[in-house]
Amino acid sequence: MIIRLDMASEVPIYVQLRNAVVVGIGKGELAPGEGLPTVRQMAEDLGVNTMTVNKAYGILKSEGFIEIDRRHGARINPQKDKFGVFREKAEEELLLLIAEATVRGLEKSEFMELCEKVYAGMGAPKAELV
Amino acid sequence: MDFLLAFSYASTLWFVQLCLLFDLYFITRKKSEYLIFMTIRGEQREDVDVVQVVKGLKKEVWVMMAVMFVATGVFFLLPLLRKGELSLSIIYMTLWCTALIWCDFKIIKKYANRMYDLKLNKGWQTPVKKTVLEVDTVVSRMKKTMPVSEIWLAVPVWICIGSFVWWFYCAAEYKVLLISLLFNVLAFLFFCYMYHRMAHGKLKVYSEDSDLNYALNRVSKRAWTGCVIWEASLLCGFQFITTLLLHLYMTSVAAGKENVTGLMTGLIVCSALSIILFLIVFFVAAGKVKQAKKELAAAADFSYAEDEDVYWKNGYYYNPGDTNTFVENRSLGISTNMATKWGPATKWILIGTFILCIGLGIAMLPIDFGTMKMQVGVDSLELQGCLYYKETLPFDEVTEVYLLPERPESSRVWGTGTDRFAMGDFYFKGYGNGKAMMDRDAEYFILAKRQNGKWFGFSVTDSETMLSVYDRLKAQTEKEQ
Repeated sequence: MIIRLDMASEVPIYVQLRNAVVVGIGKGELAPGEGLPTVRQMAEDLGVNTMTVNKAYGILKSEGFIEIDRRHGARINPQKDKFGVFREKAEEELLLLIAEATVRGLEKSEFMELCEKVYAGMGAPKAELV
Repeated sequence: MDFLLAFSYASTLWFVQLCLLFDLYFITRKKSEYLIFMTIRGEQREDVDVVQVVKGLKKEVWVMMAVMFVATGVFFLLPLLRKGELSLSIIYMTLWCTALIWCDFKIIKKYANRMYDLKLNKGWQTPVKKTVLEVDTVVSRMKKTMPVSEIWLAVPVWICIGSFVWWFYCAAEYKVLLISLLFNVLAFLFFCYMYHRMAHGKLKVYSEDSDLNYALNRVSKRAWTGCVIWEASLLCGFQFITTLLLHLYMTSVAAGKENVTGLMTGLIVCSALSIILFLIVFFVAAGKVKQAKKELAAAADFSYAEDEDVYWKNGYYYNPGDTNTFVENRSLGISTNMATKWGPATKWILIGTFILCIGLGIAMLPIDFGTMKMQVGVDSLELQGCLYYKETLPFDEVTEVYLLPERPESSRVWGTGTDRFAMGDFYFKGYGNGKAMMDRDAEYFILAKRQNGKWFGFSVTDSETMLSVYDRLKAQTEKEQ
């Protein structure tokens, strides 16, 4: 999977990296069990500080997208939202997003169509999720 | 100055010209996808304006080369100037090389800029997302498998260790050979650094296909790390052989052996061979990378999405977004990314080399235009030669002394020997080893034997002083007897 980070963006690099990995998992470009480059390698190949990558990996681990093994490095290990924490977070973010869509004049049907389109692009095999 | 020597100096400069002409060939050749560092493909190459720019570059470079060629001949080969001494030759060669490289660089920069503007005007430029960083996670994970193993660096390491062991046990009396061995170590350390930078350097994302990205990156990393290891081994090996031959030469001369032509030839052949092999390895690596990349891109029916010409528009690579120190050159071989810390370092290394060479030439001026000075004290005499050459002879150390009306026949073991001066360690034919501090224009030469059996040959142009010193030394030896 190819990760692209925009240095001119206002979004911090570690957040961009975290988002890119999550999108990759969602689209199925990063399969469960697949390894990620080590922190040092990722930092070398992106040309960013190792601390930045370390921070992104830390967040991905705490959010349950990857597991970090001392021998094999980071591996994709997406976990289901067992306790409904994500549901709450999604509801909050959707509230803001839908409110903004309403203000900007986006119809519900258009919004739903957009959601369908984005969902269709996700290829992660749900059965493999732990 | 001998005609052959002058011709060899001139040939060195012409060789530099030849190298720059090779560079001109590589940046304008038809087979490459780059023209004057800019990506020009297919029908674009036939465009009238493009052809004009290339013609303009070639014309300017050839005119400059012709002028410099004539300048070399005038300085070194015209009989009137052939008397030019070593110091002047060094200063002239340094100025000549600097002027040549500077002019060549300026001309190429001008035409690379012109070609870049032409591409922009014609709308051939593809945009470059200067702010976007990319990484292929699959390729990045397999990075360790790409370079040639660093274990092969053990070969030059053992050569370096072996050379020091040899010096310690076999040639410790010739401390000057240590310089050559230390140069070996420095060169090896530089190659280690290059290997490290190339093996761990940033990977490139060429396409969306990870397999193709892996193949293209692997070809490049493998070829260049292999090249560095070969170069390090060759350089260390040949430097060691040269040191061995030099040691053999010095011991042979010190032992009074007259025919050392074979050894001198061996030294020259060895040095020439090391340069030739060095270049061959470099060209083979560069050729392999270019060929493999071309074949891979063709097989995958892939064309490079971004041309990255903006980073090459000055004739060198400048990309602040790329952390790689060494990148593939668009003409041939590898180039430094001038946006990294090595950019200013490269500039200062070039300036430093220029200052060093000019400084060396100036420091050597006394060798060609200075005089030998002698100070006679109450119980010793001191000779002050050029540069750092200085020798003291206490009168009571002398056991034998000869006054010679002609310069004693001598061979240099280690020191300075010019048309005018002989300074350093010399072998005096018919006498033995010792030190020399001789002005060859002098009328008289004195050879004095010290208590340790070594000879000391000296002379200054002031004949009266020479005769009085001889009388003093003769009286001393007779008193001893």
